[in-house]
Amino acid sequence: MKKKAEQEAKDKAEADRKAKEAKEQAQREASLKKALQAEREAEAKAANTAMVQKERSTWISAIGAKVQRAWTRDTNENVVCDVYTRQTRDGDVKEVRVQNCQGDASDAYKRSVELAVRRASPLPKAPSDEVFKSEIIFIFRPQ
Amino acid sequence: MRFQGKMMHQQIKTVIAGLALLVSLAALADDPVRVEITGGTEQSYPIAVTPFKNQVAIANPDYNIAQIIRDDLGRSGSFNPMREADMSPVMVAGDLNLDYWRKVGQDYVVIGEVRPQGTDMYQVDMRLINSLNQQELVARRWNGVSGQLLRAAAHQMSDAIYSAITGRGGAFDSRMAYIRIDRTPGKRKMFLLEVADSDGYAPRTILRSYMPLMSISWSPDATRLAYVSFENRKPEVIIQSLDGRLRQSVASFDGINSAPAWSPDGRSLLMTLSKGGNPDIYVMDVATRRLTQLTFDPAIETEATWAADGQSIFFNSDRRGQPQVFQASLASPRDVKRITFDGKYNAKPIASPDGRYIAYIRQDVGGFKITTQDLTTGDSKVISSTGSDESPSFSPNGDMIAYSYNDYRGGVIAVLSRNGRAFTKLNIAGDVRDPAWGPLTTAQ
Repeated sequence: MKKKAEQEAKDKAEADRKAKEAKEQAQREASLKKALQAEREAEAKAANTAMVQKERSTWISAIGAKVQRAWTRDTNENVVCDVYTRQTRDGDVKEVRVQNCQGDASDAYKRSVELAVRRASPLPKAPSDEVFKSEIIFIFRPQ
Repeated sequence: MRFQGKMMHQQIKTVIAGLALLVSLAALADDPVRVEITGGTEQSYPIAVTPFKNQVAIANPDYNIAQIIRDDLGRSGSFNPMREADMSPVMVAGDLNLDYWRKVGQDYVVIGEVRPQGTDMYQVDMRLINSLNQQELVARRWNGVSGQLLRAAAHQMSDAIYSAITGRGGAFDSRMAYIRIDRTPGKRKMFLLEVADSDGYAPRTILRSYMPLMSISWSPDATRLAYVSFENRKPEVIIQSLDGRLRQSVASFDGINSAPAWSPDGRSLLMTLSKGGNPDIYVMDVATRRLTQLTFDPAIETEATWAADGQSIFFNSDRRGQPQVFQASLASPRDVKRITFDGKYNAKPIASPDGRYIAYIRQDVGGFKITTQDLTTGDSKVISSTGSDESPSFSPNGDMIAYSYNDYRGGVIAVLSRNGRAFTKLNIAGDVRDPAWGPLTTAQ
């Protein structure tokens, strides 16, 4: 009798242990699944950010190329000027401000950089809202 | 068209050194993106000078105001005026539509209107607008302009447009003096000293002579001319007022009396005299006729001209064997500095009024050619495509050079832009040479 009771107790302990292990296993699997899910999301987010940055870089390059082609001037003055620009989502230039110029920039030269941006309007359109930025500062450098 | 043979060298000099485009993305999301633009293109300003409204009120076709302005601006080499034939008649006739002019690449638009004010008297309005930023740069009225002053008013408009866009002074409301040689068959050859508008229009004769006339120099107040006359069978330097009231010989020494050049302050004349044995440069005080010798070399020194500040002179000397340009200060004329080094023959220097450049005649592979030199860098550049160039003369703003050369029918006067882009033969009939570009007629 004693032997039978011992056997039962042993079986129960074994069952309990197995149940506990199964529960722990399930918990591990659940948390791994959660972790993998988070990683996938993070990867997707990183990929999206990289894509936005790449697309923005391409977009900005296209804008820069268009403004550069539009920059004409009569004289060769070696002066650097910053030009603040605000555009609409469609690329229409709404505001152009020649902000600061190094050295003695003539009025004709300042006008040439302002007109370069206006002549380039509309600027190439951003491929998505995430890529788009309204404000751009152009740094004009003759050489 | 008043000008024939206009040739626009549309050398659009691209200074883009590769597409060096630098994009730096801002670290913070709300900062503006920064884009670097390097290079750009050096080119003439595109401008549409539209026909003036009611131009028909002026009967004389030579007084086409818009065309006079287009020709002026084109000659400067800094503008590329749109031809009237290329303008949309609908846009020209209608109200100003800046969007249209912007789309056809005309950054600047000139509009104007003529209103008769009685017999042969007009009021003319002119406006200059930028089609890209809608800014009005000039809005001016010329009141009570008589028919014969319409061309002068048009040149003043050109000067106003030129200054507003380039930031440099104008040059069109000024005059050109030159020598005409009258070779009418059956008559004795005659030399005429003439003064016309800066575009060669409306010439009038100041002096006629059976003996050669040459080397004209304007007094800075534009009231007198100095020149060389052979009327007494030897060269003499003469000063003559434009109104004809004053005419006197100021240098008739033994030998050469030549190449007068009025100082920027109007008080002195440079000249070449050989009374000392060989040709040297002297400066004469016009009021007292007192002479001061400036060169002392046994070589030939001649063709002296003033630096813009009147403190030094440029001249031509063959002390190195062939003619080269030298500079000497009035304070210590014996300290002579050589200026030209490129080319074996560089002569007849002139200095630009802003002091930045000199121009002279260089003997080059293609002949004798107008050459400019940047006085800061020393870099020189042949800018003419003709090959018998003589007598360069800077426009009052230094952006153009008038000179003469010979073609199959005799002497021709042309205007070359200092940047070399525009070359225009002035439409002055006959055998003409030795142009001297005068100061601006009215203060701007």
